[in-house]
Amino acid sequence: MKTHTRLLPLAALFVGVLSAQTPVSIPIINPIFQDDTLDCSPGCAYLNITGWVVGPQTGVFKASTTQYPTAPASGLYVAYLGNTDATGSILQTLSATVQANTTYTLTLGVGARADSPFTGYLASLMAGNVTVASSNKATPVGGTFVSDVIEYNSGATPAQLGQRLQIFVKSLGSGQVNIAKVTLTRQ
Amino acid sequence: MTLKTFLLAALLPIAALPIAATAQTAITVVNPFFQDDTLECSPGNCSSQYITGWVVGPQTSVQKMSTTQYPTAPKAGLYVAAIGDTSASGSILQTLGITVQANTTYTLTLGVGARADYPFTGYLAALMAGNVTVASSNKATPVGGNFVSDVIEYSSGATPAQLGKPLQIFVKSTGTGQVNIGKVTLTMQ
Amino acid sequence: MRLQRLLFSLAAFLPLAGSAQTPVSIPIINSIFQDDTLSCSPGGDCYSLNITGWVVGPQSGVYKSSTVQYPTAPSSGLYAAYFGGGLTGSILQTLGLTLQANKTYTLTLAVGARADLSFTGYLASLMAGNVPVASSNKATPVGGTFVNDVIEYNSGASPAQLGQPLQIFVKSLGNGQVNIAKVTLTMQ
Repeated sequence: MKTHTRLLPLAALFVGVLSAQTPVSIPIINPIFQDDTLDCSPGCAYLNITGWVVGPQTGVFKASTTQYPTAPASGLYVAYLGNTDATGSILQTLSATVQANTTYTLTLGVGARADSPFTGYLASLMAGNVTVASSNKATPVGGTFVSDVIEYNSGATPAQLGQRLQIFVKSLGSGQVNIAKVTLTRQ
Repeated sequence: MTLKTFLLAALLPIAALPIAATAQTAITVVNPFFQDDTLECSPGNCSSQYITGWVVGPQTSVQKMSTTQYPTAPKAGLYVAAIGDTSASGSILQTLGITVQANTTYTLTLGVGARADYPFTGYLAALMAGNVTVASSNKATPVGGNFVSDVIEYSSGATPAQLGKPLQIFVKSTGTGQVNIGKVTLTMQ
Repeated sequence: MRLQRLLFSLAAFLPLAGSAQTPVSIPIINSIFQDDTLSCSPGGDCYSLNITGWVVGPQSGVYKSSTVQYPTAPSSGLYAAYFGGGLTGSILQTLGLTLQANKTYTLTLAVGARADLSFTGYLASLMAGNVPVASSNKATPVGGTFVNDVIEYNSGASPAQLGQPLQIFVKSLGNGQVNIAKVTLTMQ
């Protein structure tokens, strides 16, 4: 009886350690939009982005201090989505599939240029082409980035169980949204 | 009446009941009506390369058509995928979240359009799985300014070669004309 | 005993079933970049952004070259993927197969350097689940020619990317242009 009594608190501690899992990073191609190198001086852009399926008026942008005052002299690479001509979007399908009882955390660096209107965006975590969580809550001041953190708890029997996860961002209105960094973890 | 006779008599009506038909299930397609992108320009000569959710080939864009292209287009414009032109053929491709299952019928329906102001020289639409075509069609022949549906059916059978492979929708233009796609749906049963 | 000895001797000479496997070709959409048709005459100005079946980066598309770019090009033109030229570009395709254990994957690319434009290198990778499992940049074509780059990956008994979808990825380096005329992937 004494041995059992001693072991119980230890067992409780052990369980506690196991349940505090470290988030596992899910691989994303070109998550900080630096896989493409633009030869032009900062302030330039080009349609398309390595690894991402893009919509209209979407590409990689090498911003200067005109757009983001804290940009390095060599330029700041970001995805640009949309402009006055059309809305834009980026989409990437990941290899990870939805598992039960898992928390997914999608974090995006959402930027508003200092020299161009920002009229909002919609960012979604999807699975099998179905949205499982979304957000449009970041409201960056012109010339800055803020993080939008989108969390999805799959629960015991998620409808999209086994479906491949996808990251999707689109611009709204006739402005532009920039995305500087995308990460996705599961826990 | 013997037990055997009784059981036979009792069970026959049940045996005669039809097996319940399985309902069709819609498979989710991203941007199936090509309305996820908003173009600010006035309908007509209004397009932008690339289409949200679709991997595009050359000379492929989202376009907001006017009554010049489609007489029944709404005043706000009609969004379509515009595939190909005199410069180059084009294409759209999307990989879906569903994989091929056995003993399942997949029905791909496309609204295929020919502009009133631009030549239509044909297309090829395919349901693919794991990059292999499992069913295809080029049978729609819309008259200029109209859309017609092309329905492509694929019955996977008991042991499909592409079992477990992700389904894909693919459309390409042929020749030097343009094909427009107004709507894409895929169901399974 | 005699029959046993006979059978044993025969067994020693018979190859183990499956030991000499034929490579299985893995389907690739638009693997020789001829799914798109360009109406223009072959040459420097005959190209279009985007490539059927491939997710492209900036400055990437399909190109119909002439003998100015590749002296052995047919008069009807030689179709190839182009990426880069002033800025980098890329092509990516996710395949229908997932990575299996104890397999050898062989990715072969025909890598070309135009005779009329600088070639400043490339990086080609076989990936699985967005993670490179093998890569190469060893092909050094002379201007106006294509050379093969063969990239082999042995997955071993318990690969980290087991079950992940296979992908082919190529990007240009520097401010030159790289052309790819053919891509094949086999599994054995």
